[in-house]
Amino acid sequence: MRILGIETSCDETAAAVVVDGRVIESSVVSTQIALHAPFGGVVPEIAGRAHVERIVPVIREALRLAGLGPDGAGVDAVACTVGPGLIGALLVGVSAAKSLAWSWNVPCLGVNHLEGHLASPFLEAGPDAGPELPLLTLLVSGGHTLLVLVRTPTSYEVLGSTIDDAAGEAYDKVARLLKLGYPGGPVIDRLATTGNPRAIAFPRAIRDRPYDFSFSGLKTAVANHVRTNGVPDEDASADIAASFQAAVVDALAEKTQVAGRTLGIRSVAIGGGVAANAALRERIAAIGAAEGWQVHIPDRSFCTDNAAMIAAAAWWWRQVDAPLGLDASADPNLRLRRPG
Amino acid sequence: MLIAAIDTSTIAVSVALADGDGLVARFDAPRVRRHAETVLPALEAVLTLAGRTRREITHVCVDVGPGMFTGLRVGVTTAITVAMALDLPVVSVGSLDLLAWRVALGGAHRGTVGAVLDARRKECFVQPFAVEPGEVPVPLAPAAALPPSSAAELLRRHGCSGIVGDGPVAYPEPFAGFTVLEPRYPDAATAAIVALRTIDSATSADEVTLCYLREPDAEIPKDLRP
Ligand SMILES: [Zn+2]
Repeated sequence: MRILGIETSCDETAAAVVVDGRVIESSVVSTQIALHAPFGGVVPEIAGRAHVERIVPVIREALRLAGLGPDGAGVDAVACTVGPGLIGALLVGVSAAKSLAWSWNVPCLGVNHLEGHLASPFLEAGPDAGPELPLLTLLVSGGHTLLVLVRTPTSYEVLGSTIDDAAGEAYDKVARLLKLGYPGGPVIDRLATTGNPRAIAFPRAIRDRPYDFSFSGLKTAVANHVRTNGVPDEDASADIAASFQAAVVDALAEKTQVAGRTLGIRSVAIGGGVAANAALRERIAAIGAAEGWQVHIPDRSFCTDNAAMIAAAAWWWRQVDAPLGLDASADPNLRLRRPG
Repeated sequence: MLIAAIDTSTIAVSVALADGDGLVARFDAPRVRRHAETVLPALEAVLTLAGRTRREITHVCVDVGPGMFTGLRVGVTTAITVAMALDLPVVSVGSLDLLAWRVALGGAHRGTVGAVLDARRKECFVQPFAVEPGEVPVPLAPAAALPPSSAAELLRRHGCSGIVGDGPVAYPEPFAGFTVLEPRYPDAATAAIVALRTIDSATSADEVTLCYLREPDAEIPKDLRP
């Protein structure tokens, strides 16, 4: 089953063609980072405008790279992210997907963006391969920080989440404090390699909730440090970046390791924009090796938002969820399902 | 020929079909607001009413604004993706032009007329037109987003006595001196009729551009300014 996936929940306009939730025939991502960077974050109206401008060329390109034409011959279904995300951005993808499905007379499948990230470790695996289950997935991005136990591709349980800021949000805020620009993740990751991660003892994980995360205290600690010591020079910035990143990675890794041991998992995966971060990738790989878990660290382009994961999730959920009606809309506050 | 027209530029949502003989079927929901939920069911409905299929559509026509940003994006995205999928050209029409066209096609008013739509945030989208019954309305100034009093002033300067659109509903006082003409909102049936006359302006789906007339609401934070 060949699915054209469409993703427009935030600041990437993406389309991809995926067969049976695994074989990626094409994946096109048009990022809007440069448009939002001057504002220090994603501006919803700018995102909405860019999505409309880019949606047709991006879909055309995804079809072309998959050897398909705009007449949709060979496409068995269209899938789109219905939430969570920015409503004005989501509506572009949902409108496009419904229109294509209607025009081509194929089903339109609605996908939860987070379930898209959870489907990523199953991409590019052979029909009998794929991660050993149960799989523990750490999903970290600008909008989400989640630890999820995946029993099968369509059965999972959220173990923990952030009680305040998402990890990626903390990166953006700290980058702004250090005047490093937006987005914060890649630039802090780069700068941290030249700094001393033990230079400053920033606070780590919260202890009373076994699998929950908190990053607002850490962010405040960095802000206080900058206020007390003045605007840092390059070396001091590198030390702050390294120490901050060590605190984030420690918190994420520690809870992942505890959860994995407690629950007897067979494999571990990471996803989301912060999973493109070198320090986190190295740490999770090290933990997996030490614990004897299979480790699934996707290529960076499949950690950040993309449409291949949306097409994959649509395939896994196709027999559980009814296709979208012509009157379907987006749900900006969509959440992951409760088990059962 | 079969033109499918879409208008989601205001709280009204409408879809219409026209062929060489004129209007075939229309759907008008004057105050639904729910653009994403309504457009495709409406398109399906007018085709069913007309006993036609999506494969028979030869042109898509869409109102590209100005108007409600989110509504416009739903209508335009629907129009351009249907056009891409069915390999059809797109006729773009403006919401203020459509209001002027309604007056011209109605035939009761001649002279200058102001098209005024509520733009929210204490502004109007406004444009003066010279209108002759049955003729193409001629814009007398570029479309603009202006405070209501400046919009009224602009229209007076161009000698407009009548205005069309929901501007005077939202801002009665500044427009008190004008004769208010029907309709309040642009509609797809008019767009389809206009498309019959402007069909040579059709473009590919990739070339369709929205008319916002206003910069995105975004300010560069103080600490990020150079
Ligand atoms: Zn994401």
